[in-house]
Amino acid sequence: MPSQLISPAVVVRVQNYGEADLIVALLTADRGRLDVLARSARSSRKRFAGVLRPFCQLQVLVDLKRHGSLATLTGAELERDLLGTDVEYGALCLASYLCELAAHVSQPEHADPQLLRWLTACVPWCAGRTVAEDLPPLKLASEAALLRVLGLLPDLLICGRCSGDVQPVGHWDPDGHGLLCPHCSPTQREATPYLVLAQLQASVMALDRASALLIPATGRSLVEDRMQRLLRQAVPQAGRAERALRSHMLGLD
Amino acid sequence: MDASLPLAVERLARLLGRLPGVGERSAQRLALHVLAQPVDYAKGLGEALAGLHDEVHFCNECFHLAEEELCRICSNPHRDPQLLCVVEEVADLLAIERSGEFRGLYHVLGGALSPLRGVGPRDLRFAELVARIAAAPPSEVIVATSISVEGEATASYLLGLLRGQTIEVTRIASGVPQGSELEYLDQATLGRAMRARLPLRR
Ligand SMILES: [Zn+2]
Ligand SMILES: [Zn+2]
Repeated sequence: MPSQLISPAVVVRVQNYGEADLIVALLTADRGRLDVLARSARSSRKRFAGVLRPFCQLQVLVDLKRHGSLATLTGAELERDLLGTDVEYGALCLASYLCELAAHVSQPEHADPQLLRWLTACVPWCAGRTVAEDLPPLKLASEAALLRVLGLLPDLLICGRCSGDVQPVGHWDPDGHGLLCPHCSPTQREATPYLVLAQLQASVMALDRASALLIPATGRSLVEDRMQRLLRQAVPQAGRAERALRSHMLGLD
Repeated sequence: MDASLPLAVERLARLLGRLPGVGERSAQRLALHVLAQPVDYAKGLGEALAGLHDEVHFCNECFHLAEEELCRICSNPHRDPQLLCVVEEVADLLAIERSGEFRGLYHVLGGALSPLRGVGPRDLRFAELVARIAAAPPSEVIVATSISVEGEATASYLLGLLRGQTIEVTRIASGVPQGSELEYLDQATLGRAMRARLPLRR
Protein backbone atom coordinates (compact mmCIF):
# COMPACT_ATOMS: atom_id res chain seq x y z
CA MET A 1 0.00 0.00 0.00
CA PRO A 2 1.44 3.43 -0.90
CA SER A 3 1.99 6.08 1.75
CA GLN A 4 -1.03 8.18 2.70
CA LEU A 5 -0.95 11.93 2.98
CA ILE A 6 -2.56 13.15 6.18
CA SER A 7 -3.06 16.82 6.99
CA PRO A 8 -3.31 18.38 9.46
CA ALA A 9 -1.67 16.18 12.09
CA VAL A 10 -0.60 17.73 15.38
CA VAL A 11 2.21 16.16 17.41
CA VAL A 12 0.89 15.57 20.93
CA ARG A 13 3.48 13.16 22.32
CA VAL A 14 6.98 12.02 21.40
CA GLN A 15 8.70 9.02 22.95
CA ASN A 16 12.11 7.51 22.32
CA TYR A 17 11.97 4.04 20.84
CA GLY A 18 14.94 1.73 20.54
CA GLU A 19 18.26 3.36 19.79
CA ALA A 20 17.43 5.82 17.08
CA ASP A 21 13.68 5.84 16.55
CA LEU A 22 10.76 7.82 17.88
CA ILE A 23 7.13 6.94 18.46
CA VAL A 24 5.09 10.02 17.69
CA ALA A 25 1.45 10.43 18.69
CA LEU A 26 -0.37 12.56 16.12
CA LEU A 27 -3.81 14.03 16.53
CA THR A 28 -5.67 13.94 13.22
CA ALA A 29 -9.18 14.81 12.14
CA ASP A 30 -10.17 11.60 10.36
CA ARG A 31 -8.14 9.00 12.22
CA GLY A 32 -8.18 10.37 15.73
CA ARG A 33 -4.90 9.64 17.43
CA LEU A 34 -2.41 8.04 15.12
CA ASP A 35 0.72 6.59 16.70
CA VAL A 36 3.49 6.34 14.15
CA LEU A 37 7.02 4.98 14.20
CA ALA A 38 9.60 7.46 12.92
CA ARG A 39 12.65 5.40 12.03
CA SER A 40 16.09 6.97 12.60
CA ALA A 41 14.44 10.21 13.69
CA ARG A 42 16.95 10.59 16.50
CA SER A 43 20.10 9.48 14.69
CA SER A 44 19.53 11.78 11.71
CA ARG A 45 18.16 15.21 12.46
CA LYS A 46 17.85 15.90 8.75
CA ARG A 47 15.45 13.02 8.24
CA PHE A 48 12.35 14.77 9.55
CA ALA A 49 13.86 18.28 9.61
CA GLY A 50 13.34 18.63 13.36
CA VAL A 51 9.55 18.92 13.08
CA LEU A 52 8.64 15.91 15.24
CA ARG A 53 8.11 18.09 18.29
CA PRO A 54 5.00 18.65 20.39
CA PHE A 55 2.88 21.60 19.27
CA CYS A 56 3.87 21.20 15.61
CA GLN A 57 1.04 20.94 13.09
CA LEU A 58 2.29 18.80 10.22
CA GLN A 59 1.45 17.35 6.88
CA VAL A 60 2.61 13.76 7.09
CA LEU A 61 3.14 10.79 4.83
CA VAL A 62 2.30 7.59 6.65
CA ASP A 63 2.72 4.02 5.61
CA LEU A 64 -0.29 2.44 7.26
CA LYS A 65 0.91 -1.07 6.54
CA ARG A 66 1.31 -2.41 10.06
CA HIS A 67 4.59 -3.43 11.61
CA GLY A 68 3.31 -4.94 14.80
CA SER A 69 0.63 -2.40 15.52
CA LEU A 70 2.40 0.77 14.43
CA ALA A 71 2.17 2.72 11.21
CA THR A 72 5.43 4.12 9.84
CA LEU A 73 6.09 7.77 9.20
CA THR A 74 7.76 8.28 5.82
CA GLY A 75 7.63 12.06 5.55
CA ALA A 76 6.71 15.13 7.57
CA GLU A 77 6.48 18.78 6.73
CA LEU A 78 5.71 21.65 9.06
CA GLU A 79 2.45 23.44 8.38
CA ARG A 80 2.38 25.56 11.52
CA ASP A 81 4.19 25.66 14.83
CA LEU A 82 1.17 26.15 17.11
CA LEU A 83 3.26 27.44 20.00
CA GLY A 84 6.36 28.98 18.42
CA THR A 85 9.62 29.20 20.34
CA ASP A 86 9.16 32.52 22.10
CA VAL A 87 7.39 31.10 25.13
CA GLU A 88 7.62 31.58 28.87
CA TYR A 89 7.74 28.61 31.21
CA GLY A 90 4.18 29.04 32.53
CA ALA A 91 2.81 29.22 28.99
CA LEU A 92 4.81 26.13 28.05
CA CYS A 93 3.30 24.33 31.05
CA LEU A 94 -0.22 25.22 29.92
CA ALA A 95 0.40 24.24 26.27
CA SER A 96 2.00 20.98 27.43
CA TYR A 97 -1.00 20.27 29.64
CA LEU A 98 -3.35 20.77 26.67
CA CYS A 99 -1.29 18.36 24.56
CA GLU A 100 -1.28 15.87 27.40
CA LEU A 101 -5.08 16.11 27.68
CA ALA A 102 -5.47 15.67 23.92
CA ALA A 103 -3.18 12.63 23.92
CA HIS A 104 -5.15 11.15 26.79
CA VAL A 105 -8.71 11.66 25.56
CA SER A 106 -8.06 10.93 21.88
CA GLN A 107 -8.64 7.44 20.58
CA PRO A 108 -6.97 5.54 17.76
CA GLU A 109 -9.07 5.13 14.61
CA HIS A 110 -11.78 7.37 16.01
CA ALA A 111 -12.42 10.45 13.89
CA ASP A 112 -12.64 13.52 16.11
CA PRO A 113 -12.35 16.79 14.16
CA GLN A 114 -13.78 18.71 17.15
CA LEU A 115 -10.91 17.62 19.37
CA LEU A 116 -8.36 18.64 16.75
CA ARG A 117 -10.08 21.98 16.35
CA TRP A 118 -9.99 22.47 20.11
CA LEU A 119 -6.25 21.79 20.30
CA THR A 120 -5.32 23.95 17.31
CA ALA A 121 -7.39 26.82 18.75
CA CYS A 122 -6.21 26.58 22.36
CA VAL A 123 -2.46 25.92 22.05
CA PRO A 124 -1.85 29.23 20.21
CA TRP A 125 -3.54 30.95 23.18
CA CYS A 126 -0.42 30.10 25.14
CA ALA A 127 1.97 31.60 22.60
CA GLY A 128 3.58 34.97 22.95
CA ARG A 129 4.42 36.68 26.20
CA THR A 130 1.56 35.35 28.33
CA VAL A 131 1.65 37.03 31.71
CA ALA A 132 1.16 34.94 34.85
CA GLU A 133 -2.33 36.34 35.50
CA ASP A 134 -3.49 35.13 32.09
CA LEU A 135 -2.82 31.48 32.83
CA PRO A 136 -5.82 30.70 35.12
CA PRO A 137 -8.53 32.03 32.75
CA LEU A 138 -6.88 30.42 29.72
CA LYS A 139 -6.63 27.11 31.58
CA LEU A 140 -10.25 27.31 32.70
CA ALA A 141 -11.58 28.20 29.27
CA SER A 142 -9.50 25.48 27.57
CA GLU A 143 -10.74 22.88 30.04
CA ALA A 144 -14.35 23.95 29.62
CA ALA A 145 -14.00 23.86 25.84
CA LEU A 146 -12.54 20.35 26.01
CA LEU A 147 -15.39 19.20 28.26
CA ARG A 148 -17.81 20.55 25.68
CA VAL A 149 -16.07 18.52 22.95
CA LEU A 150 -16.33 15.46 25.19
CA GLY A 151 -20.01 16.16 25.87
CA LEU A 152 -19.41 16.62 29.59
CA LEU A 153 -20.00 20.34 29.95
CA PRO A 154 -23.44 21.42 31.16
CA ASP A 155 -25.09 24.52 29.73
CA LEU A 156 -23.54 27.38 31.66
CA LEU A 157 -26.41 29.85 31.21
CA ILE A 158 -29.57 27.80 31.69
CA CYS A 159 -31.02 26.19 34.80
CA GLY A 160 -30.89 22.42 34.60
CA ARG A 161 -34.31 22.09 36.25
CA CYS A 162 -36.56 24.89 34.98
CA SER A 163 -34.54 25.94 31.89
CA GLY A 164 -34.66 29.53 33.13
CA ASP A 165 -31.77 31.97 33.23
CA VAL A 166 -29.15 31.45 35.93
CA GLN A 167 -28.92 35.21 36.48
CA PRO A 168 -27.66 36.79 38.67
CA VAL A 169 -25.89 33.71 40.05
CA GLY A 170 -25.69 30.04 39.12
CA HIS A 171 -25.55 27.23 41.66
CA TRP A 172 -23.37 24.39 40.51
CA ASP A 173 -23.82 21.28 42.61
CA PRO A 174 -20.68 19.41 43.63
CA ASP A 175 -21.58 16.34 41.59
CA GLY A 176 -21.46 18.52 38.54
CA HIS A 177 -24.97 17.87 37.20
CA GLY A 178 -25.39 21.23 35.61
CA LEU A 179 -26.37 24.55 37.08
CA LEU A 180 -29.46 25.67 38.93
CA CYS A 181 -31.01 29.10 38.97
CA PRO A 182 -31.48 30.95 42.30
CA HIS A 183 -35.16 29.82 42.43
CA CYS A 184 -34.47 26.12 41.96
CA SER A 185 -31.38 25.96 44.13
CA PRO A 186 -32.14 24.44 47.54
CA THR A 187 -29.34 26.43 49.20
CA GLN A 188 -27.88 29.81 48.46
CA ARG A 189 -24.34 28.61 49.07
CA GLU A 190 -21.61 28.21 46.45
CA ALA A 191 -23.00 30.66 43.97
CA THR A 192 -21.09 31.71 40.86
CA PRO A 193 -21.73 35.16 39.42
CA TYR A 194 -23.47 35.12 36.05
CA LEU A 195 -20.66 37.23 34.61
CA VAL A 196 -18.10 34.45 35.16
CA LEU A 197 -20.39 31.87 33.59
CA ALA A 198 -21.40 34.07 30.66
CA GLN A 199 -17.82 35.00 29.84
CA LEU A 200 -16.71 31.37 30.12
CA GLN A 201 -19.57 30.29 27.87
CA ALA A 202 -18.61 32.95 25.34
CA SER A 203 -14.98 31.82 25.20
CA VAL A 204 -16.02 28.17 24.88
CA MET A 205 -18.38 28.92 22.01
CA ALA A 206 -15.94 31.12 20.13
CA LEU A 207 -12.71 29.32 21.12
CA ASP A 208 -11.27 32.75 21.43
CA ARG A 209 -8.40 33.88 23.63
CA ALA A 210 -9.67 37.44 23.97
CA SER A 211 -12.97 36.45 25.58
CA ALA A 212 -11.23 33.89 27.82
CA LEU A 213 -9.05 36.66 29.22
CA LEU A 214 -12.18 38.57 30.26
CA ILE A 215 -13.38 35.85 32.67
CA PRO A 216 -13.48 37.72 36.01
CA ALA A 217 -11.21 36.45 38.79
CA THR A 218 -13.86 36.93 41.49
CA GLY A 219 -16.09 33.89 41.71
CA ARG A 220 -13.86 31.84 39.46
CA SER A 221 -12.52 29.38 42.00
CA LEU A 222 -15.77 27.43 42.38
CA VAL A 223 -16.02 26.99 38.61
CA GLU A 224 -12.39 25.84 38.56
CA ASP A 225 -13.20 23.24 41.19
CA ARG A 226 -16.25 21.92 39.29
CA MET A 227 -14.24 21.84 36.07
CA GLN A 228 -11.59 19.72 37.78
CA ARG A 229 -14.23 17.25 38.98
CA LEU A 230 -15.69 16.94 35.49
CA LEU A 231 -12.25 16.54 33.92
CA ARG A 232 -11.32 13.77 36.30
CA GLN A 233 -14.14 11.74 34.72
CA ALA A 234 -12.29 11.86 31.40
CA VAL A 235 -8.71 11.99 32.69
CA PRO A 236 -8.64 10.12 36.02
CA GLN A 237 -5.02 10.98 36.90
CA ALA A 238 -3.03 14.15 36.56
CA GLY A 239 -0.12 13.80 34.11
CA ARG A 240 3.35 15.33 34.33
CA ALA A 241 2.45 18.53 32.55
CA GLU A 242 -0.65 19.03 34.69
CA ARG A 243 1.45 18.66 37.83
CA ALA A 244 4.05 21.08 36.44
CA LEU A 245 1.35 23.61 35.58
CA ARG A 246 -0.24 23.29 39.01
CA SER A 247 3.00 23.82 40.90
CA HIS A 248 3.87 26.74 38.66
CA MET A 249 0.48 28.37 39.22
CA LEU A 250 0.80 27.87 42.95
CA GLY A 251 4.15 29.63 42.79
CA LEU A 252 6.00 26.60 44.11
CA ASP A 253 8.86 26.99 41.66
CA MET B 1 23.97 -13.43 20.38
CA ASP B 2 26.10 -16.20 18.93
CA ALA B 3 25.87 -19.38 20.98
CA SER B 4 29.23 -20.59 19.65
CA LEU B 5 31.15 -17.69 21.25
CA PRO B 6 32.79 -17.99 24.70
CA LEU B 7 30.67 -16.46 27.46
CA ALA B 8 33.27 -13.76 28.24
CA VAL B 9 33.13 -12.43 24.68
CA GLU B 10 29.39 -12.62 24.62
CA ARG B 11 29.16 -10.73 27.92
CA LEU B 12 31.43 -7.95 26.64
CA ALA B 13 29.46 -7.74 23.39
CA ARG B 14 26.20 -7.46 25.29
CA LEU B 15 27.56 -4.57 27.40
CA LEU B 16 29.04 -2.80 24.38
CA GLY B 17 25.73 -3.22 22.59
CA ARG B 18 24.10 -0.91 25.12
CA LEU B 19 26.25 2.02 23.99
CA PRO B 20 24.44 4.54 21.78
CA GLY B 21 24.74 3.81 18.08
CA VAL B 22 26.17 0.32 18.61
CA GLY B 23 24.06 -2.49 17.27
CA GLU B 24 24.30 -6.19 18.08
CA ARG B 25 26.65 -7.05 15.22
CA SER B 26 29.02 -4.14 15.67
CA ALA B 27 29.13 -4.90 19.42
CA GLN B 28 30.29 -8.40 18.56
CA ARG B 29 32.85 -7.02 16.13
CA LEU B 30 34.17 -4.61 18.79
CA ALA B 31 34.44 -7.40 21.35
CA LEU B 32 36.41 -9.54 18.91
CA HIS B 33 38.61 -6.54 18.09
CA VAL B 34 39.47 -6.03 21.78
CA LEU B 35 40.33 -9.71 21.99
CA ALA B 36 42.66 -9.44 18.98
CA GLN B 37 44.67 -6.61 20.58
CA PRO B 38 47.61 -7.20 22.98
CA VAL B 39 46.38 -8.04 26.47
CA ASP B 40 47.53 -4.64 27.86
CA TYR B 41 44.90 -2.88 25.80
CA ALA B 42 42.03 -4.84 27.33
CA LYS B 43 43.53 -4.34 30.83
CA GLY B 44 43.89 -0.60 30.26
CA LEU B 45 40.36 -0.36 28.91
CA GLY B 46 39.03 -2.25 31.90
CA GLU B 47 40.87 -0.01 34.36
CA ALA B 48 39.72 3.15 32.59
CA LEU B 49 36.12 1.99 32.80
CA ALA B 50 36.39 0.81 36.40
CA GLY B 51 37.87 4.10 37.58
CA LEU B 52 35.41 6.30 35.74
CA HIS B 53 32.86 6.76 38.50
CA ASP B 54 35.46 7.00 41.28
CA GLU B 55 37.64 9.58 39.59
CA VAL B 56 35.07 11.76 37.89
CA HIS B 57 32.39 13.86 39.56
CA PHE B 58 30.71 17.22 39.08
CA CYS B 59 32.60 20.48 39.59
CA ASN B 60 31.46 22.21 42.80
CA GLU B 61 31.08 25.52 41.00
CA CYS B 62 29.82 24.91 37.49
CA PHE B 63 28.79 21.19 37.42
CA HIS B 64 31.08 20.38 34.52
CA LEU B 65 32.86 17.05 34.86
CA ALA B 66 35.87 17.31 37.17
CA GLU B 67 38.60 15.23 38.80
CA GLU B 68 39.18 17.67 41.66
CA GLU B 69 36.70 19.88 43.52
CA LEU B 70 36.85 22.34 40.66
CA CYS B 71 36.93 21.49 36.98
CA ARG B 72 39.79 22.52 34.72
CA ILE B 73 37.87 25.55 33.49
CA CYS B 74 36.93 26.90 36.93
CA SER B 75 40.47 26.38 38.25
CA ASN B 76 42.07 28.05 35.25
CA PRO B 77 43.24 31.58 36.30
CA HIS B 78 43.19 32.78 32.70
CA ARG B 79 39.41 32.37 32.37
CA ASP B 80 37.35 35.55 32.79
CA PRO B 81 35.02 35.27 35.82
CA GLN B 82 33.06 38.32 34.63
CA LEU B 83 31.47 36.21 31.89
CA LEU B 84 29.18 33.36 32.87
CA CYS B 85 27.70 31.14 30.20
CA VAL B 86 24.69 29.01 31.14
CA VAL B 87 24.26 25.76 29.21
CA GLU B 88 21.91 22.79 29.44
CA GLU B 89 24.38 19.90 29.30
CA VAL B 90 28.10 19.17 29.50
CA ALA B 91 28.00 18.34 25.78
CA ASP B 92 26.90 21.92 25.09
CA LEU B 93 29.80 23.27 27.14
CA LEU B 94 32.21 21.11 25.15
CA ALA B 95 30.72 22.38 21.88
CA ILE B 96 31.22 26.01 22.92
CA GLU B 97 34.78 25.22 24.03
CA ARG B 98 35.48 23.73 20.60
CA SER B 99 34.37 26.99 18.99
CA GLY B 100 37.25 28.73 20.80
CA GLU B 101 35.13 31.89 21.07
CA PHE B 102 34.55 31.95 24.80
CA ARG B 103 37.03 32.57 27.62
CA GLY B 104 34.64 32.94 30.56
CA LEU B 105 33.15 30.43 33.00
CA TYR B 106 30.15 28.12 32.67
CA HIS B 107 27.17 26.86 34.59
CA VAL B 108 25.66 23.52 33.56
CA LEU B 109 21.94 23.41 34.41
CA GLY B 110 21.54 19.69 33.78
CA GLY B 111 18.83 20.01 31.11
CA ALA B 112 16.01 22.26 29.98
CA LEU B 113 12.57 22.83 31.47
CA SER B 114 10.12 20.36 29.95
CA PRO B 115 6.66 19.93 31.50
CA LEU B 116 5.85 17.04 29.15
CA ARG B 117 8.92 15.11 30.30
CA GLY B 118 8.44 16.06 33.93
CA VAL B 119 11.48 18.35 34.16
CA GLY B 120 10.62 21.34 36.36
CA PRO B 121 12.70 24.18 37.82
CA ARG B 122 13.57 22.14 40.90
CA ASP B 123 15.10 19.41 38.74
CA LEU B 124 17.66 21.82 37.27
CA ARG B 125 20.55 23.70 38.93
CA PHE B 126 18.85 27.11 39.12
CA ALA B 127 19.24 27.49 42.89
CA GLU B 128 22.97 26.77 42.61
CA LEU B 129 23.25 29.34 39.84
CA VAL B 130 21.46 32.03 41.81
CA ALA B 131 23.62 31.35 44.87
CA ARG B 132 26.75 31.44 42.77
CA ILE B 133 25.81 34.75 41.15
CA ALA B 134 24.96 36.24 44.55
CA ALA B 135 28.37 35.19 45.92
CA ALA B 136 30.39 36.46 42.96
CA PRO B 137 28.30 38.50 40.51
CA PRO B 138 29.60 38.40 36.92
CA SER B 139 29.05 41.40 34.67
CA GLU B 140 27.32 39.32 32.01
CA VAL B 141 25.32 36.10 32.00
CA ILE B 142 25.12 34.50 28.56
CA VAL B 143 22.16 32.16 28.22
CA ALA B 144 23.19 29.42 25.79
CA THR B 145 20.27 27.04 26.17
CA SER B 146 19.02 25.38 22.99
CA ILE B 147 16.99 27.27 20.40
CA SER B 148 13.83 25.29 20.99
CA VAL B 149 10.63 25.86 22.91
CA GLU B 150 12.15 24.20 26.01
CA GLY B 151 15.41 26.15 25.65
CA GLU B 152 13.54 29.44 25.30
CA ALA B 153 11.28 28.72 28.25
CA THR B 154 14.37 27.89 30.31
CA ALA B 155 16.02 31.14 29.20
CA SER B 156 12.97 33.23 30.09
CA TYR B 157 12.67 31.48 33.46
CA LEU B 158 16.31 32.30 34.16
CA LEU B 159 15.77 35.91 33.13
CA GLY B 160 12.94 36.06 35.69
CA LEU B 161 15.25 34.77 38.43
CA LEU B 162 17.85 37.44 37.66
CA ARG B 163 15.34 40.27 37.36
CA GLY B 164 16.24 43.29 39.48
CA GLN B 165 19.97 42.57 39.41
CA THR B 166 22.43 44.81 37.63
CA ILE B 167 23.80 41.99 35.51
CA GLU B 168 23.56 42.08 31.77
CA VAL B 169 21.74 38.96 30.57
CA THR B 170 22.31 38.03 26.93
CA ARG B 171 21.06 35.23 24.72
CA ILE B 172 23.17 33.48 22.07
CA ALA B 173 22.14 34.54 18.57
CA SER B 174 20.34 32.12 16.30
CA GLY B 175 19.89 32.19 12.58
CA VAL B 176 21.34 31.03 9.29
CA PRO B 177 23.97 28.30 9.70
CA GLN B 178 27.32 28.63 7.93
CA GLY B 179 27.28 27.27 4.40
CA SER B 180 23.53 26.89 4.14
CA GLU B 181 21.28 27.99 1.32
CA LEU B 182 18.36 30.18 2.32
CA GLU B 183 16.04 28.31 -0.02
CA TYR B 184 16.28 25.16 2.12
CA LEU B 185 15.97 26.78 5.54
CA ASP B 186 12.86 26.24 7.64
CA GLN B 187 10.57 29.23 8.14
CA ALA B 188 11.19 29.55 11.87
CA THR B 189 14.98 29.76 11.50
CA LEU B 190 14.80 32.17 8.60
CA GLY B 191 12.18 34.29 10.39
CA ARG B 192 14.38 34.54 13.46
CA ALA B 193 17.43 35.37 11.41
CA MET B 194 15.47 38.13 9.68
CA ARG B 195 14.31 39.60 12.99
CA ALA B 196 17.79 39.40 14.54
CA ARG B 197 19.56 40.98 11.56
CA LEU B 198 22.77 42.95 12.13
CA PRO B 199 24.10 46.15 10.55
CA LEU B 200 26.48 45.49 7.67
CA ARG B 201 29.82 47.02 8.61
CA ARG B 202 31.84 48.84 5.97
ZN1 LIG C 1 -34.44 26.90 37.83
ZN1 LIG D 1 33.76 24.17 37.02
